[in-house]
Amino acid sequence: MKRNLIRGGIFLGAATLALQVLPWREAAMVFPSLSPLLGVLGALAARTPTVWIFLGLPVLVLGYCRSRWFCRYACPVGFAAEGIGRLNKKNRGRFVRLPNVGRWLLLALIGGAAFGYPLFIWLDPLSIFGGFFSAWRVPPTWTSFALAAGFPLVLLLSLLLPQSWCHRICPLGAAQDGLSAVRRRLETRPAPAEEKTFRLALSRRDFLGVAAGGAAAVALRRTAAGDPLPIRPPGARPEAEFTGQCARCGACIRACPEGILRPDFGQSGLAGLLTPSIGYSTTHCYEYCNECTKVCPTGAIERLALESKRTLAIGLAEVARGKCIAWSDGQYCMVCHEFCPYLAIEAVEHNGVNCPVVKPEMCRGCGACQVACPALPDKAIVVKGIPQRRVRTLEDELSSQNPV
Amino acid sequence: MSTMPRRDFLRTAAATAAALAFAPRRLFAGDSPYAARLFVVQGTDIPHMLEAGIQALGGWSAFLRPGQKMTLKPNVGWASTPEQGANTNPEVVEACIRSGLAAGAATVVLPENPCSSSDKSFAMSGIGAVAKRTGARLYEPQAGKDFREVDLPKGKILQRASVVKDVLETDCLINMPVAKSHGGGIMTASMKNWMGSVQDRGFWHRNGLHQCIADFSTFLRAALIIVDATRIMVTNGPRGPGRMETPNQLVFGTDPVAVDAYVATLFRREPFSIPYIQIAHDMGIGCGDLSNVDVQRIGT
Repeated sequence: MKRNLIRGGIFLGAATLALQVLPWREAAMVFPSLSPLLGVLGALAARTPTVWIFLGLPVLVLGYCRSRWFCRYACPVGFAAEGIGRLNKKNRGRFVRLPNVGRWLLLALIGGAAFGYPLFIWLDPLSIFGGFFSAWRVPPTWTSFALAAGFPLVLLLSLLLPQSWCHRICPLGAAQDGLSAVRRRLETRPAPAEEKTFRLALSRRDFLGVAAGGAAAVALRRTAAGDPLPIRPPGARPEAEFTGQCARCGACIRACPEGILRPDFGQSGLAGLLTPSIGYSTTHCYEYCNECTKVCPTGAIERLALESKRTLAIGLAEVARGKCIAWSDGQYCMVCHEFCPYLAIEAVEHNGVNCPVVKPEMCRGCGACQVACPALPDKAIVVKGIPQRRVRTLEDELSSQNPV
Repeated sequence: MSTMPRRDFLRTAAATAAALAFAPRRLFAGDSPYAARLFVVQGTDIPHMLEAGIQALGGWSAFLRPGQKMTLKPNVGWASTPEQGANTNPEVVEACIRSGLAAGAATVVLPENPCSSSDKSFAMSGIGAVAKRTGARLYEPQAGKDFREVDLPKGKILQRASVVKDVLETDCLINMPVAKSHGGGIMTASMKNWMGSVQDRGFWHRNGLHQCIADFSTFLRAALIIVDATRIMVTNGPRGPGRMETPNQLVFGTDPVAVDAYVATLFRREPFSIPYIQIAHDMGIGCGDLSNVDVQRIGT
């Protein structure tokens, strides 16, 4: 009873953090970072450890000392899955017949992370739990519901076959089982030499699992880049790694105050399913916002200071002259130039009228021009995805325009 | 018949004396051989400059009676700081609101349909804070509810438009743009500023921007135009950042074509090189020929 009170409290706390209603945006990182799969393996894959991995390390230690401590006390998915599983008395205990999928998922994940592409990181329960709250995003879209579907699916599975998720599929549960298995072996035998320990903990099958994960990671990294490239949030890892390192937790999507981030649904290939990508329709990526870079628990999106974000190009605008009312109709327009926050549109005179030309060394791909373009029926200036790169600062541009 | 209290008499006399002290050469348009008149007030003490300009035009009583509603249309279109000159200088806005309130305005409203998001534009421009300090109401008009569809019978292309209700229905309408360079409009001051009071700007861009700017001014005329030319963005406008110059001027007038023609000269532009000034002049909206405009300079 007391344990369930604690779990209920943690469930509510995790939900509050996932909803990002607190004024401190980074609060959304706290709970997912507790999972060593997201924090520690994410940092391993991205090769950039952040302070957040220190939240995941104690969970590893506790998992070693107390069998499945995190599952029994803290995991909100476990709490809900266990609760709903009690409703099905008939199938109780039948999960033991299932193979231990979670262990293989975990081994592949570790191997993948070592090669920069942590396979199945999106099966982390805290990521699944976070994704669920994308359904509350305003305005809701059907893709935001797709991102939210993981948690209900886990609950459905737990209703049909109680405990199957926690004990047979969940890679975080498997990680803790692995830790207590190590402990049991260490305690029942006399303290062995250090190398002997490794041999005990890592069987040949485990090693094969890790190696298979690593090989798959190398193969996937080569095939992942889509064409055309999707527009990723600022600070996203290169496309070939991003699709692997993104846990599909939806934290960045919920953090975006403009609602331009949405779960990708096939535009960036199968590897990119449900990863965040940017679509400009009614609003753009503002120069004074870096919210999405503050919440990524795996480091798939690097944290960027505002100054740094302002010189990072996430896309490149292209003018379609045949659709542009200045180029093709000779209208005085230049609305793209008007709205561009980065001086990236140059006015070129054509038949006596100013016409827009994009300056690639200044364009950040923020989409301000695309949203503002008054051309009908199609926008005459559209942002395309590019590998993210640094561009010239506004100050440099201004001083080159007006040499002293 | 009521008698005027001595204190009021003295106050009126003092105000009249102050107005005369600024010594416009011709106080009444009727005397003038010119087609239009405007006042260019030079200085750095903005509240003082504003008072001087209002007095030169005959004082608030020419535009506003106590208890009336005043609508002010500054440019608060961009999430940009006052120093960048994309928005009307908040000090000018504040001076005008305070002066209008002191003259008896019951309410002051500032509707603005901005280009950047309204909360960022209002905050970064400093005009949100001005509204808060002075009790004026700065707001982003909502599609439908805050607009009214009107006919523009004299418009050549723009013949219908959805215009902010508070701009249409007010006792004293003041157009208070900032002067700056502009990609599509070449230069913007008073006439183009109304694009922040209509719902569908895109129509103007698609269908002849300069003709539409002029068309709109066949329909709507402010009681008073005050152009902020304290600092002007001479390149990369309207948003910038661009190169700044500081004419330290406020331009007061009632003829939008004459006012814009004068402001064009601050950008070293021949007024008729800006198509909407030529079109508006030809349509008889006002006088864009500066040789026929009485430009009176007031130093403070």
